[in-house]
Amino acid sequence: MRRLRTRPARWLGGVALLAVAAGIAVATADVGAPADAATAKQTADNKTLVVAVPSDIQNLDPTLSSADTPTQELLTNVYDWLIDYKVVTQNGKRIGAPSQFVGAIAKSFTWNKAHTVLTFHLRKGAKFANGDPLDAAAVKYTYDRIFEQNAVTAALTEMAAVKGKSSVTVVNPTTVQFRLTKANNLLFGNMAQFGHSILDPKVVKAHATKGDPYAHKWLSSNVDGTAQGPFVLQSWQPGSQWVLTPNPNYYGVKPKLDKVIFKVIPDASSRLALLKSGAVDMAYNLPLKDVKKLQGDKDVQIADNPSRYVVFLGMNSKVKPFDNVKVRQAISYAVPYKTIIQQVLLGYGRQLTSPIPEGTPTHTGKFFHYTTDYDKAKKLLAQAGFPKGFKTTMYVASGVDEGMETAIWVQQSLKKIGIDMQIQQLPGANFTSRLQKHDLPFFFFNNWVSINNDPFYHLYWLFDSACCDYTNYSNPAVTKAINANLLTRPGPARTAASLKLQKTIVNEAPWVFLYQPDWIVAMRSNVHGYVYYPADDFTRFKWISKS
Amino acid sequence: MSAAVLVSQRADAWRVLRTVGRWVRRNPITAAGFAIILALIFIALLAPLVAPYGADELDPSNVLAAPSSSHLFGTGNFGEDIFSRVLYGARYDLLIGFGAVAIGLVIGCAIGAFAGFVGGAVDEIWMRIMDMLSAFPGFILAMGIAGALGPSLRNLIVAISLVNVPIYARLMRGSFLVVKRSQYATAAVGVGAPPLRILRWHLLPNTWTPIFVQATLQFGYAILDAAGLSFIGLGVRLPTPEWGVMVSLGIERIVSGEWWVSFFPGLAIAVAVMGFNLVGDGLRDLIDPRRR
Amino acid sequence: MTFYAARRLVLLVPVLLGVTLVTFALTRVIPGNPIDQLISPLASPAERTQLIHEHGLDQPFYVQYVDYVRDLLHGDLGTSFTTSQPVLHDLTSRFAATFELTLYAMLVALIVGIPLGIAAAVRQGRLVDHVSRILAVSGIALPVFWLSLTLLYVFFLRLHWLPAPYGRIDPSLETPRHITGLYTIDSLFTGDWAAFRSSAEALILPVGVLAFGVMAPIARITRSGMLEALESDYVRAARSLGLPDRTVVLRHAFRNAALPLITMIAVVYGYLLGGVVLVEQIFAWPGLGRYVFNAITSSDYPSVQGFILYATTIYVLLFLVVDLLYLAIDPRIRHARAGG
Repeated sequence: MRRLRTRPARWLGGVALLAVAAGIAVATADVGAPADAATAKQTADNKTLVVAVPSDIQNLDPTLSSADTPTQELLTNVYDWLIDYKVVTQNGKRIGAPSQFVGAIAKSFTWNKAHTVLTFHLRKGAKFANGDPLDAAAVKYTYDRIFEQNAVTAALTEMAAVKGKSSVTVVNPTTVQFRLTKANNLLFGNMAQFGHSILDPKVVKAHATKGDPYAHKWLSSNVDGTAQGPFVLQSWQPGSQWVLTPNPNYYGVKPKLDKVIFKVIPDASSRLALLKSGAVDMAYNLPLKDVKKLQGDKDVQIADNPSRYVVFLGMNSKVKPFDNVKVRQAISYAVPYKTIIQQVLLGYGRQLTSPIPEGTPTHTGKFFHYTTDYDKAKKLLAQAGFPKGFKTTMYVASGVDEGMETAIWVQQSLKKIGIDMQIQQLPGANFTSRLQKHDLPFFFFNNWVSINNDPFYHLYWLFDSACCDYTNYSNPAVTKAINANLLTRPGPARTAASLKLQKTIVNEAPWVFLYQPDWIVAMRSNVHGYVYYPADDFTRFKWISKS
Repeated sequence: MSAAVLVSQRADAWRVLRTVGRWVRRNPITAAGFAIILALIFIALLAPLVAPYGADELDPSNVLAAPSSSHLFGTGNFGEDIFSRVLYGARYDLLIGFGAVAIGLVIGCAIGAFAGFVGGAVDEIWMRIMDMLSAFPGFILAMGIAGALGPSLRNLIVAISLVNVPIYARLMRGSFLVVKRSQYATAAVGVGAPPLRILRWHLLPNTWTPIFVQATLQFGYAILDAAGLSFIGLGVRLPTPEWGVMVSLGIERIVSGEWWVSFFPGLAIAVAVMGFNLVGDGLRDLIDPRRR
Repeated sequence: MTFYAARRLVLLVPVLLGVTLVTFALTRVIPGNPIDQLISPLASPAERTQLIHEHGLDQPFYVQYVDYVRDLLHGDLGTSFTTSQPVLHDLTSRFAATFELTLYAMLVALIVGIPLGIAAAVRQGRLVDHVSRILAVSGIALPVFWLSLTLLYVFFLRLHWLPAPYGRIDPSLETPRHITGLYTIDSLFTGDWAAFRSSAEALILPVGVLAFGVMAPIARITRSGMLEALESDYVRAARSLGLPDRTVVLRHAFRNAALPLITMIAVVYGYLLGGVVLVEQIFAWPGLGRYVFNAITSSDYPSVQGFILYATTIYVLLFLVVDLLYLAIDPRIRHARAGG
C-alpha cells in the first residue's frame, strides 16, 4: 500500500514545492523593494477624484439625517442653504470662518436695527438641479416642512428665537423675512448647515404619502432633482461607493472636478495603502502614526488644521467616587498630558485648557492649572478619603484608537496614585446609548464639536442640557449664567460671564481636559485647493482640483 | 536486592526512553507538536520568571522600537516589550482554547450521547435544536453572544464554546447511530453483554476518534475566533497580553512598516494552533483501534 | 426517500422559527439602542420617543416578535435602521459580492484540499504527508485578518503584483452589466476584459486567504476517510483482485471517503460565512459580511435578523441535502432511520 503511486500525489508534491519556492521568493523579493514604484496606479485622470472613506452614507433626509460624517458631508456638497461661511485667508491658508457669514442661495441679507428681523434677498432666476425655480416659495416651503417635521433642525431654529412657521414670511418672489422674538447670536451658526437645505416643493410633494406628508422616506435615500448645491449624487451603490458630478444649474463657483468617487474602505490600513499607492487621491481617518510617516512621502500631502473638537475624560458627578470634586481634581493632576499629546496625538493637536475650545470666541486658557503632579494628586485623593486609591473602570468606544491609547497611558499613571483602573471597550451603539443615558462613570469622549461657534451655545449643550450633559455636571450658578447669556448679543458682559464660567468649570473638573486634535486630511500631492471649515470639518469639493 | 531493583528500574527507564525515541523518529511532526505544547505550558507557568519585562510595563521614551538585543521582538505603541507580552500571552490563550473546547465538548457530547442513545422523539427534538444552533454562522453567533455578554475573558470563552456545541453533539450522535446498528454491538448484545459495558467497550472508543479530531481543530479555531473577536473589540479587555489583542493593537502598524508589533503575537497564535493540531492529528492515528 | 425529504422540509419550519426567535432575543439583549445611531445627539426626548414609537420599539417583546413574524410571512424583513432601505433589498444587493467570494474560496479549497488529503493518505508517513500536514495545519493556524494584511503588505505595497484593496473592481472602471451578479462571470458574458481582469485580480487575495483557512479541514477529513477506506476489507479485496492502484484509490477508496467530506463541506461553508466578516472588512468588499458587521456594532436589529435568517436558511437547506446524500449513499443509515 505504501508503494502506491498515483498522479495526484506527484502533482501535489510539485505544487507544494512550488508554493514553498514562491513563498521564499516573495520573502526575499520583499526586502528592499521600493515602496513608491512606478507601477503604482494613479487614478484615471485629473478631472476625477477618488476619496477613501471609512463608512457608507446612510439617511439622506437633510432635516432628519443620520449623524455620521460621510452622510453629512455628502449633504453639504449636494445641497445649499440661504447663507454660508465666509472663506477668509488665515496664516496663509484659506478657511471657512465659522463665525462669518455671506449669502449663498440668498444673494444678500439685511438685519433691522434691533436685530430681530432678518431679510434675505434671493438670486433672480436661480434653479434647482432639475431646473425648477429656486424662489421664495421654495424657501417658505422648506421652513414649513422643518417646523412641521419638528426634528432637531426645528428645535435649533426655535432655540435661536425663530418660533415656528409664522415667523418665516414671503415678501415677494425673491425676498423672505425671518422674525426673531429676541435678538441673539445663534441663528446663523445653525443656518449655514445642511439641516436648512432648501428643497424643491414639487419634488418633495410628488413623493409625499399620507402617512409621510414630508416625503421623509423618499428623501432618506434620494436627492435627485431637489438638490441645488455644487454637486449632484450621480449614483450610490450601497456598501460600496457613491459618485458626485457637478450640478449644471449651480449658481456659484463651478466645481473643477468632473467626478468625485467615494469608496467605502472600512479598514484604516487599507485606506493608507490605497493612498500611498495612488489608487485614491484622498483618505479620511488615517491613524496619526501613519500620518506622521506620510510626512516624509513627497507624493502625499497632509492638510493639518486646528479643530474645535473638545476631547476629554468625563467623570460622572452622580457616580461615586466621582461625585467628590477632590477625586476629580486628583485624577486631573494624575493624567500624563504631555505623554498623551506626544504619543497619542504625535503632536497633531493641543492641550485643551478650557471647556470652551480655542477658536471659539471668549476662550481662555488662563485658568487651566492642571499638570501631571502625582504628589498633589495623592494629597487630594487622601483629602477625599481615598488615601489608598480605589478601583474603577474607564469606558472607551470600540474602534476609537485614540481613546484606547489614551486609556492605556492613563491606566499606567493612575496606578501611581493607587487607582486600579480597568479599560472596558464598548461597541459603538452600546457606548452611545449609555453615554446618552448619562450612566457612564468614567469615559473617554472625542466626538463633540459645536458647529454653532458660540460659547454659550457650547456650554449649554455640554453642561446644562438634558441630552448632552454626559457627566451629570450640575452647579446652579453655572446653569443660571448659561441661561442668562444664551440669547444675547456679543459684548463685554457676555465675555465676562463666559470667563467666569470657564474658571468655575476648570476648577470643578467635570472633565479631565485632554486635548483639541488637529483635523487631518491626507491627499496626493497633485490635489489642490483644499479649504478647511472649522465649523464642521466637512470638505467642500467645489474648491478641489487636480493637476 | 536493592541493586537488582535499581538495575531493573534503569532498564525500564531505558526501555521507555528507547520506545519514545523510536516513536519520535517515526512521527517527527507529531513529536514537534508535542514539543510545542509542552513548551507553551512551560512558558505559561514560568512567564514571570522568564520574561525580561512586565506585561504592562510601558515606556513612552521607547515606543515602536525595532527588534534588538534588549527587546527581542521590539516594542509596541506604548514602549511595551512584545517578547515579554508574548510569553505572558500563553497563559491567556491556553486558557481560552482549553476553556472553550472543554465546555463545548462536555455539553455537546452529553447532548449527542443522550439523543443518540435514547433515540425517538427526544433525539428528534434535540437534533432540531442543534440544527438550529449550528445553522448560525459560527463567528457571527459568537459575535452576537460576545456582544450581548460584553467583552471579557469569561464571556469570550462562553461565546466561543457555545458555538461548538452542535458539532460535538452531531458527531457523538452520528457515531452512536452507526455503531448501534453495527455488527459488533449486535453481536455483543447477542452474547448477553450488559448495555453499559457495550457502551463502554464498543460505542465510546469508536466515537472518540472523530470527536478528538474535531476537538483539536476546535482548539485552533477557539484561539483564532478569540483573536478575531479581539480584533473587532469584543474580546479580552485591553491591554491584557492576550495574543489576539496584541495582534489587533499592532495590526495598523503592518502597512506603515512596524511589522513586529503584530507579527510575533500572530506567529505565537499560529505556532500554538499548529502545535495542538499536529498533536491531534497524530493522536488520531495512535488511538484509532482499527489501525493499531 | 421522497417522504423522508418532505418530512425534513416540514421540520425545517420550526427550526427556522426557532432561529428567528433566538436571533430576535439576541438582538434585543445586545446592549445599545439603535435610535441613538439614527438621530442627532441634540435631538429632544420627544423626538427620540417619537422615533422609538415609529419603529415599534416601545412595544413589549412578544408583540414586536409577532409583528416581525407576520411581516416575514409577507416577505417583509423590515427596514434597516442604518441604510434606511428594506432589509431584503440590502441583502439581495450585497448577496452576489459575498457569493462570488465564498464560491471561489470553496472551489479553491476543494481543488487544493482534496488532492492534498488523498496524497497524504496514499503516501502516509512520507514527505508529501508531512508537507500536506504542515500546509493544512498552517492554513487554520494563521489568523485571517493578520494573514490578510500581511499578504496585502507584501503583494500590493511591496511587490505591486496585486491591486489595492478597493473592493470588487477598480473604481475607475464601470461595473459589468448585471446578469449573474458575479463580476467575473458577467464581464465574461459582456466581453469586458478590463473588468474581468480587475475583478479577478481583486478576488485573488481574499479568496486565497479564505480558501487557505478552510482547506485544512477538507484535506484532513479526506485523509482520514481515505486511510480508513484504504485499510477496509473491500479495498483489500479490490486490490487482491488485481485492480490497478489508481482505480482502487480514486474510485473505491475516495468514494467512501466522500461521505464525511460532504458533511465537512457544509460545516466549512458555515465557517466561510463567518470568515467573510473579517475578510470583507479588510478588503473593503461590499458584501454581506461587512453588512452584518456594521449591523451588529450599530444595533441595527432588522438587518441582523434579516442576515441571520438568510444565512441560516441556506445552511439548513445545505444540511438537508447532506443528510439526503448520506441516505442515498450509506444504506446502514437508511435502515437506522427506517427503524427509528
